[in-house]
Formats: sequence, structure tokens, C-alpha cells
Amino acid sequence: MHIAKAGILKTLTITTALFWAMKSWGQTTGTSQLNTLLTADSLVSGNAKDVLTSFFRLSLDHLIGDDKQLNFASNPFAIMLKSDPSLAMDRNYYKYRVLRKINFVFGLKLDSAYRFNGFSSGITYALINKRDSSTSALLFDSLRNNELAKEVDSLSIELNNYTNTIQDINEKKRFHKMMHAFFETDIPFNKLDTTFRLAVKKIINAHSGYYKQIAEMSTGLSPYSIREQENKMYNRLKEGIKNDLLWTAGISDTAYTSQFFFSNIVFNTELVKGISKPGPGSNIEFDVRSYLNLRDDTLTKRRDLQRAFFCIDPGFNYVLRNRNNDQSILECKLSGSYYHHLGSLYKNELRDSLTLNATLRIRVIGDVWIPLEIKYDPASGAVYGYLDVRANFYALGHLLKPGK
Amino acid sequence: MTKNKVVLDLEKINLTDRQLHSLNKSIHKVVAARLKTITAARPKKTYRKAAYTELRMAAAGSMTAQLSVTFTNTIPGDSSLTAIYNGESQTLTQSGTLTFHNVKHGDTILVQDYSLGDTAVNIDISADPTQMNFTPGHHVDQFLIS
Repeated sequence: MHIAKAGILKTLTITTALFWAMKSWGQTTGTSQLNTLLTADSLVSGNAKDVLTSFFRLSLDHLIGDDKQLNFASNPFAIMLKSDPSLAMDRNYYKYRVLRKINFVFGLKLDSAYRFNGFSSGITYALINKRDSSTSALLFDSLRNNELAKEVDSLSIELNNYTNTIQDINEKKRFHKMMHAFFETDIPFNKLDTTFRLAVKKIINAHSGYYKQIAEMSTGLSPYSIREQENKMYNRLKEGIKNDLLWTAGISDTAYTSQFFFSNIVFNTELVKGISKPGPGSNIEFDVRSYLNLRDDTLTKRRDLQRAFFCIDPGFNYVLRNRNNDQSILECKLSGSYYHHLGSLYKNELRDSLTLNATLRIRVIGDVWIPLEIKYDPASGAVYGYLDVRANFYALGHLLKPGK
Repeated sequence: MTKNKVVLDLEKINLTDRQLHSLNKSIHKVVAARLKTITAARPKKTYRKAAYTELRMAAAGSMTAQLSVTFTNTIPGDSSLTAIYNGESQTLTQSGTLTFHNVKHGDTILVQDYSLGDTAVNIDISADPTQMNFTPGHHVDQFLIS
């Protein structure tokens, strides 16, 4: 949708203000979330969530313009899980793996006066999703072979054996509670019972060559907690897969307002892959999207899908993350689009064309994103702007998990 | 079987082989039918070996502990839970149960969990705690049998 440059400036001003507001929010809340275990979904970039959502996503696309669209995207497995939490059990999780990789979307198209202007629907399938931390063989292998986890396992066996040598039942109960506090809570080691601390130190000193990481923590100046260190370790391991490949393919359509005939069918595929070294602060993703669009030829009276054009849109997405909790707070995507018309051309229409695109995506609050997309056509000098609002409702899905 | 044998003294009555056979057959039939009703009415003295073992063990202060393990939000194979009791180690890589025999009061069962999903462990005997819930990652905890 073509909008005036003044309109673009207005939207840029709004989004910049929102960005600074959210940047300060991200920094203040991030510190309080330091010790919590971050879910993989919370670390996924907004761009990747647009490619494949994990639960519900509600979006209001093209807020400024005459082809507004209200879209609802979801995952069938997430909806089934809502009515039957037993589907989350590992065997069912595997059984319904195909459904977990599917996204469907329903849209309601509106014109500039917010009148109904047709339906849209679509389905997307994740051909490869190596970013899914719940099924990553690489991540599980890293966890199983982690040195800190091995040390904790060995220390727990030594302490368990020590527990069973205690004859007095009350003393044994007290030691058992300390074991739980040591391995499963954030209580710092120096706040635990003296007898327990002495037993731990005795074991570590007896095998100082083996308990390298735990010995290092215990000799440090700042108090440490095994649970906190293990959470940090797991978050670090998950960082290793956030750059992995996500490749999807899908089909979407738009129907006319009067009758349920397709006015537009799009076959699309999209690939996202991190290219910079994963780490706190920021990372860069390579994103390439291509689609074949079949649409109605408006020069003929009949309704058909005779017009066809192909588009490929490669680009790079820069993700700025909160250093404290690693959540994406701002993303900037620069890309170029190449269009090629396959069929007959309209008058003055070019067979091939290019646009340069920039998308600024801001996490407003929780999982609500505001993407602002600007396209520039070098041939005509025209500037196009799109402003959307997208909300991912993973938090709802997380609450529905058994045991929460 | 000697104790079920019936001996009849026919004195001077002479029976042909056929008659004798017929008499034996009739007696056998009546006695067999009677024995059948007696056997059916009396409960069988059966001892379930397992129940007996449990009784014997309970008397000695030991029991059987069953740990029910449920992994969620991950696939089989991307989890591993090891429970260790008295030097015996058992591992599950998908949802299931682990059984330890001769578990005694005041003993501990150590649990070590690696999972990409959530884990719930329940124990079917009196213990502290009776349930453990773990988030994704690596966890260690202990059941104290009470």
C-alpha cells in the first residue's frame, strides 16, 4: 500500500518511541528474570515466529492502507493439547509430530473503511525445524555430556551414600532437606547447614581433580547455587541451536467477498538460518522467502487464476537481544525482492522488477510485536509502508502444560 | 489313592465279572460326584508367591517401591532418568515405571534426570517427597522412605 512520506514519518516516530520504551522495560525486567529458566520459545526471534508460530498468533496486518487483514494463526497440536493435556506425554508428542509441524491461518480482509473484503486461509509445514529445543538430538547430546551435569551426578551419588550412613533419623531428614536445597533450589551454598557444607567440601577436596567446576564455584568470592548454575548452563546449550535451520513450505489463498472462489493462491517456501556466532547481545539470521502467486486476471470478466508471478526475497535479519535474559527486543531486516511475471503483461507493466525492503520489528510487551515494513522501488522511486501488530500467545500454551 | 478306596465284603454273594465291574463303576461314580462337591465348597489353600514374599519382607521392615515416571513436551529418547537405590541403578529413556525391592524405612532413592521436556516422578510408598517435578534440563533429587 502506498502511503505518503509524512505517514511513514508518523509511524516511524510511533515505533521509535515504542522501541525506547520497550528497551528500558526489557532492561529492568531482565534483571529480575536472571535466574529463571527461559523457554526456547521466549528466545526465538520475532522473524522466526512469523515463519512458524508455536501456539496462537493473532495479527492485524497493514494497519495503514485499504487492504487491512486480521489473521489468526495456530498449530493444530496446540489446540488438541488444550482439550487433552495427556497428548504432551512423550509417546503422544512423537505420535503427533506431523501436527506439531503444521501451522494454519485464517484471515479476514477489510477495506479502508473496515468493511469485509474477503477471506483468506493457508497452511504451512515445517520441513526442517532444528530450532525446536524439545526434540533436538544435538541439544540432548550436549546436555548428557555436559561436564557440570556429570560432576553434579557424581557429587549427588557421594552425598546420597553419605545420607545412608547417618543413623539418627532426624539428622538424616535434615541432611535430606539440605540435599534438596543444594541441588534443586536457588539458596546459595553459604546459606546451607554447616554440617552439610562440611560434607560437600570434604567430598570435593577428596576428589578435587574431578569436581573442577564445582570446586571453582565454591572457591569464588560470590555465593553460588548449583540450580542457578545448571539453569545458566542449559540456557547456554540452547543458544547453540537458536541459529539452526528452519525451513517451511506452505500454500495460502484469498477468496472473493461474494462467492467462495479463489482470487489469489500463493505457494511459498521460507528458510531461516543464523549466521553469526550465537552469544548474548545480538545475532544475525539469513532469511530467504520465495513464492509463486497465481491471481485473477482483472482484464477478463471471468474469474480465473491466469496471472502468475514469482518472487524471491533474500535478506538478513539483525536481532538485538536483552543481555540479561537473551530475549529478542528489536529486529531489523534488510532484504531485496525480485519479481518476475510469468504470463502476459498489462500495459506499462515490467516483466522483472526489484524492491529494497527494510522491516523494523519491535517487541512491545510479552509476545506482542509491531513490525513496520518499508519497500522502496528504485525504478519508480515509490515508497510503500506497512504497519502490523502481531501477538504470539505461547504463554497460554505453557500454562496448559500438565504440572504447571 | 488309598484313602479314597472303598472295600466291600460281599461274603457269600457271588458276582460275575460283569456285575462286579458294574458295581465298581456305580460306587466310583457316586463317590467321585460327592468328592467333587466337597472340593468345590472348600476354598483352595493357595499361596500367592509374590504376596507371601511381600508379607515376609514387610515383617522384616522392607518393601517394594515403584517409581512412575512421565516425560512430557518431548519425544521418547530425548530424556533419561536414572534412579539409584542401594547401589542398584535403573534407567528409563521414555515414560514408564522403575521397581526396587527390599526397600527399607529411612533409606533414600536418588533420582538423576536429563530431559528436553518436563518430568514428573511419583513413588507409590510413603516417602518425602512423594512426587518430584522437573523442568527441562538436568536435575538431581532424593526420595527419603518414611
